[in-house]
Amino acid sequence: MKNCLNYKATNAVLMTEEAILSGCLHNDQVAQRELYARYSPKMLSVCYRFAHNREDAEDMLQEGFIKVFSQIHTFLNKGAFEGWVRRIMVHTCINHLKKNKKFNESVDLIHATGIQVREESIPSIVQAKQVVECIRILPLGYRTVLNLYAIEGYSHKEIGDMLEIEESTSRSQYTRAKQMLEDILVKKNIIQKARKKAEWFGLASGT
Amino acid sequence: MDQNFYDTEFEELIKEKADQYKMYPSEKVWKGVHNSLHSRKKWYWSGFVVLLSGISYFAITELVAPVSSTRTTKLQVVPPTEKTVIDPDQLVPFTADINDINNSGAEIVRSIQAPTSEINIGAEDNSLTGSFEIPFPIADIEDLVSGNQQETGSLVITRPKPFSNPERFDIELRLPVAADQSWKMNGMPINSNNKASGRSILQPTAAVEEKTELHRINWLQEQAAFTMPSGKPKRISWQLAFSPTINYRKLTGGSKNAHIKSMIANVPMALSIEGNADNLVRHKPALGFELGTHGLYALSKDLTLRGGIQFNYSRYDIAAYSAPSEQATIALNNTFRTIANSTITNYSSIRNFGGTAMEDLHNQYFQLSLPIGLELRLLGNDHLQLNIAGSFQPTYLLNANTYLITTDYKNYTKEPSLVRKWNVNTGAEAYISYTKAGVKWQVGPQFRYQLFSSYAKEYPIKEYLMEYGIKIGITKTIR
Repeated sequence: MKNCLNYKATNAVLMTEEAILSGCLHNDQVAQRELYARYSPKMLSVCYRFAHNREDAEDMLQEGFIKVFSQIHTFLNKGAFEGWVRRIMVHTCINHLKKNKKFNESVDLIHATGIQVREESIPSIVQAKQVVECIRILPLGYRTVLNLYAIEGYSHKEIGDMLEIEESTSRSQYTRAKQMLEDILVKKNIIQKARKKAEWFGLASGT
Repeated sequence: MDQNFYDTEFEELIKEKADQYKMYPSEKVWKGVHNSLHSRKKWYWSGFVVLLSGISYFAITELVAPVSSTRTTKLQVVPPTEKTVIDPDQLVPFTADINDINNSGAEIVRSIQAPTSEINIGAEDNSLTGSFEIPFPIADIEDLVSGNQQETGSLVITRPKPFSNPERFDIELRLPVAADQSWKMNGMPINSNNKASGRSILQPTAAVEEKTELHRINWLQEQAAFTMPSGKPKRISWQLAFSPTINYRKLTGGSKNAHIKSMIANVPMALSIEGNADNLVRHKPALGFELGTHGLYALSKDLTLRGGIQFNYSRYDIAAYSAPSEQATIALNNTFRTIANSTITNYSSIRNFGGTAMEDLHNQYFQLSLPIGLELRLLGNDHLQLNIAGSFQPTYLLNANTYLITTDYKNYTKEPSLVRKWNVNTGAEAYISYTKAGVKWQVGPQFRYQLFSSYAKEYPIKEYLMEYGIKIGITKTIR
């Protein structure tokens, strides 16, 4: 009986998503609002990790959702809809950074290794927000590569194409980004030092 | 091994924590999304409807039914026309000379000058009959020099019956008459019938009366008709024009660097396609239209200055193919427009070559322009003319629904940020016109060309819109 109820509940959710997609395909405002309400919190956090500040993140989110709604007819139900939305958001963020020249001008990946992270610059926050804020402390280029590789799952080749850098550059910068993030997380006591590799994630996840 | 394990766990933790984090956007984000999807369309369609309604209203009131019950009739005092029927629109201020004969028999030429102000008879007066009295100064040359106004007369305009077309008015001249004064006009004595009051309603002489009866106007109108100089030529007119158009475009540009950049960025890579952009797409003309209203000012008999506002709906079709969604990359120019240094990547399910099914794309532009130009009469008389005209049209793009081809010519995608908002168009036309009863009808071919690309300078491929149309216009002379 429990399984049956779960099935019905899952089915109802699926139907709702189908209805939302169908409504959005017909430019229905209620369906658009529902889709936005459902995905905007997650997508804003995606944008926020790429953006310079929250205002920029909201600009990216707005631009991204306009693209989602205007290109929704290109979604062919192959794969998860959320993944499709997320890909559009990520590309919108990258395009936004490029268009505003923040990416090219502010990121000198080679020289960014010398950046020192001050303890007091780490926000006093907890859990997911804590980690996200630590990621945001990274220089823009590091942050972008780390976001794309570790969180969004793009390959270094894809990242190289997107950011117009060499694949090897993406690899090396990711290594440095990860090291820098690790240092930040250690300083914040979110993880233990790298030499206690096997323990650090236990501390982080031992909430 | 440990390192790999550590790396994987580290990435998993980062991803897990990042995915857990949610932020709630402010309401303005949704408003921005919503407005972009809905309000702008509403706005320009509303604007278009308002523009059409306004033009239609003026077309009906000014051209189709000029004597409308809602119209305010403006009446000026003196008719400088030989017509027996007075058109109120043709009444202009006047002066007339009359002879003042005093007791000593000396004649002094004195001038009466009607007021230049207008009498407005509102629409609600349409059924009103009665008289309107308008005072005016009577001055001789000495008075004019000295600035002294010795005496005052008045014009009485009587509308004997409700407005009709043609409208008729009786006009009487009232002059102050002292006991030792009499008046003559063109050598004919003017009688008065009320000397005691010091004001006299002057009646025309028998000869003038006969003429008045004949033409059903009073003697002053007749006097004005024969002695007054004709009014100034009318220079200002108003035009309404509509053109069904065939729209097309010309594509140029694209650079090898941009092409390579775009091709590399796209996954999976496919065979390289190179060549002239115009030859690599299949586009075909489509129907659009132009609607405009203009004010015209006659600089001379043959040359007219024209300015106004117009709406253009331009459209053309593109033959493409639907395909599974894939990455579509546009490589952008740098400042020097030679080397691609940046890209915009979207996902597109429309291909230029090869796909699962044919798909027609409709690129549409909604433009508002402020054309200014000149019209030149080449041949013809007052009724039938052959003219040419040219215009310069600063243009604002109200909205566009346009697919851009990627710089590797493989996909079509929408990227509104690359569409230029401001542009400049030029127009050229030739037309035959026929004028009757103050209304000019015209018809002739026109051509419109967009001077700057439809897209931002960063987009390597340039698009220039062209429109061929047949313009039909109607022009009403105003003043």
